[in-house]
Amino acid sequence: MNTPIIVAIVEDKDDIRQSLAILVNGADGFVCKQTYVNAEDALDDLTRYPVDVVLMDIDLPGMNGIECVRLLKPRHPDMQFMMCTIYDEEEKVFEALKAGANSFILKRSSPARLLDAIRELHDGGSPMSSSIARKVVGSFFNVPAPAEAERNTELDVLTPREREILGRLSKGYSHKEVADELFVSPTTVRKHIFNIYEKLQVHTKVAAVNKYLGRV
Amino acid sequence: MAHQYTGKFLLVSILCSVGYTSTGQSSAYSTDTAYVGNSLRAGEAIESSDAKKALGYYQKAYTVARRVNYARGYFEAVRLLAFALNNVGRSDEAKSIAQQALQQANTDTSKRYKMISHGALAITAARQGDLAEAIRQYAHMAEYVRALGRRDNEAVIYNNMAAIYQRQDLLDQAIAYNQKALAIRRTLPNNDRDIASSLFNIGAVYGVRNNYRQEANYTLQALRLLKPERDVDMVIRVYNNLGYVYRSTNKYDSSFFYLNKALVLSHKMGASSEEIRVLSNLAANHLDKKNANAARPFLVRARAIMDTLKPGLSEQQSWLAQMVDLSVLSGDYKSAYQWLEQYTNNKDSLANLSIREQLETYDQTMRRAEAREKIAEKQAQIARLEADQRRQTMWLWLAGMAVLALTAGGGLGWLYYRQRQKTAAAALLAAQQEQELTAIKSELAGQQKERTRISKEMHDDLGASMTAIGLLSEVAKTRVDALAVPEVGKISEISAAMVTSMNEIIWSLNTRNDSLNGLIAYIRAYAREFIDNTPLTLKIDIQESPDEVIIRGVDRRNMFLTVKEALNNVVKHAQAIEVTLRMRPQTNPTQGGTFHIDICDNGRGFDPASLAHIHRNGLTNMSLRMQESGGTCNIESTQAGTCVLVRFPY
Repeated sequence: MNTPIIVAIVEDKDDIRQSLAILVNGADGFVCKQTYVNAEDALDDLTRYPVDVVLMDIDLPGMNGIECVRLLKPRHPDMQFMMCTIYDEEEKVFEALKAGANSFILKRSSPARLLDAIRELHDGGSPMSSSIARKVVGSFFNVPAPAEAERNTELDVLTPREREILGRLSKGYSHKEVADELFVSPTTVRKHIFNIYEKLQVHTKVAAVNKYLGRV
Repeated sequence: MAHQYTGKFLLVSILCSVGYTSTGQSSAYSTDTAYVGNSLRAGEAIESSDAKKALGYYQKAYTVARRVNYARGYFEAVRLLAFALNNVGRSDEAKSIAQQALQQANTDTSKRYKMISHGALAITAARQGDLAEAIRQYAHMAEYVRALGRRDNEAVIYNNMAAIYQRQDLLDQAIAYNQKALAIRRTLPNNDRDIASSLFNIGAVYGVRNNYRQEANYTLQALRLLKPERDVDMVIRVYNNLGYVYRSTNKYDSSFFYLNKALVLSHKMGASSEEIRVLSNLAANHLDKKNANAARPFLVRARAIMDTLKPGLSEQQSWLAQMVDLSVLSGDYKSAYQWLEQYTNNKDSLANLSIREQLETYDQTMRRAEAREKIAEKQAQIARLEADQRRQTMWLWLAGMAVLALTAGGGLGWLYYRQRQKTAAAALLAAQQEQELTAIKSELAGQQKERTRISKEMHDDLGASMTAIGLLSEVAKTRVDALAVPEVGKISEISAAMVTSMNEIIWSLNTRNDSLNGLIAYIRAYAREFIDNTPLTLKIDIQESPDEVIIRGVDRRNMFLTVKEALNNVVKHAQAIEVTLRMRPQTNPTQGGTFHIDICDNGRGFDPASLAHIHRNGLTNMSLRMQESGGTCNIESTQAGTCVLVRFPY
């Protein structure tokens, strides 16, 4: 047996937090000893005792999950964040991805799927829904740039393969369809998506700095 | 001509009689009552800027009201005068005035007068440091306020009592009375701000006890109720307190997070005293981390604010405390000693001062509430008077016009009158229309708000519970004996289905999803997921819209549900091996277009006429749905398969 994946859970609703912990601890290859009811406790504790994967709720009392990720990610770039939402809250999920999360999952997903997703994220893969893909495309395209030439360099941040994947996902293709059309495995597609998220984070920071410096 | 003369006479005589009545009201007696009222109002208007002058007004009003036995004015004057006297430190006088007032009130049946008298005695006792007496008086006051049905004021009184208990270090009672205030406020409508302030107070008392967990808990609850645009003053204090709480529990990241928010807000709003506290707290954080260089700029910035305005004692204290730490940290013990001395000198007066400030805030809240009530009453009065006047004027006009018309034998006067009437009618109509429009607009806004509320509540409460049920039933499956597994599995399945349909409703309610290409992607993703779980093959043929097209939520929902039903039918009844989903927007040359969705299978087909009743129902539903959105849904079936053709003009 390999070393287990160490998971932390940040969730304010007791029922859900406890059920998730039971699930994770009951599965082979996963351990969860750190659960938190709010972002403030998590921020403090996870800074000192980082884990492999954090299941992070978005709506928390006080500081929300997105702000917590934004502060934690730079300190532990290897710690992966999976945002848990009840519904497809595209807007918030997208904010979280920009802040440093690399994955998201609906809480209603079946336990098997949840555990798969954690393992996949740990192995460097991420999923993406069509509406998130539309937002990611928009974010890379809609950056106001002073000149046409520069805008092209913005887009060049993504490799041609990544752009192909993003384009199909934004039209509602499933991961499997994308994989079939591009003759790669779904795992490879998810690894590309993981990289797109990483670039989105960097891109968001660069855009923010540019704005700050008055370059936009 | 004679008639016209009469008409004029008529006008004059009515005007005279009106004039007479109004002179009649200002008798010697009413001059005095008006004088009392005016003096009190004049005092109130300048009280915050010139307390001494205000006091003068109140005293005059008090004397006159007492002389002419004008009870209402007298008690109003007692209320304001006692408050003002206490403010300038003349509590002994305030006490004797309040005691006299109480005697007077006891001879009367008015509960309001008794309430005022006890209130004046309570404020005075609190000011004089006789806290037990203050509590007694407030308790009496609360009784009468309750009898008067003023629940909001009752809550303020409990707040006052809590603050006094806090001052006596009776923290259990302080919490209990804050809770009482909270309980009342929770029953009143549109009261989030007050509820938040009670929660905040309770948190603060826990803070005195060093119970930071509870303080954070209550303060965060308060924060949830506050609206950043409306309650910015309280939001700043909440952030600042949270910064303090997290610093006290060594959670510096969270502390910095909230303090930085507080700093931005207090600076933007020009809330200088809060800004000083925030800056001091930020400096304290850096000092805790032994980083004197990072702390210094904050203290310098705070000093700069303190130099331009006279800060309160507590702001000075929070600044001085950090100066002590800073000097110690830099090894400058001489300065540390000096700062410490200043700090200790201030300390004694501080505890009393902060509580007093708090009490004053509460009293002012209560007075503002009363003033609002009075203003509303006055406005209603004015409105009545104006209406009367308008009616009178109209009658005058009519009379005048009638006479004119008679004298001039119709003609111009009549035309003029008609014209006026028409204009008035038109104006009335316009006003009515405007009113209707406003009514419709506000109703729409209300509906939108209601939509958001419902989807939020579904999301927060229902959604969370359903998710927990789903998760727990999955866990239960592995733990219960084999016999119960199917039932538990069913529970899990049903809860998942419920969450899915809730998800779809929320998707359709959200206006951010109102785009045609978004709908296309949503339907495509749904079809892919749905069909991939069946033995069927799905072929997809899609063209996106080149332009941004907006589709309303209800139409999106109707189209989505129609497609969902069609796909469901294919899987259940068609006995097909392949299904094709085609979507394509067909733009009109001029404007708009038609959105085509075709769902075609290669199954056995069916004859619509021979269909069982229950299946026909499903088809009718699809058709009705599309009709509701102004579109169509037709079914073409042969032995080679069935096509459902959905059309929606946009």
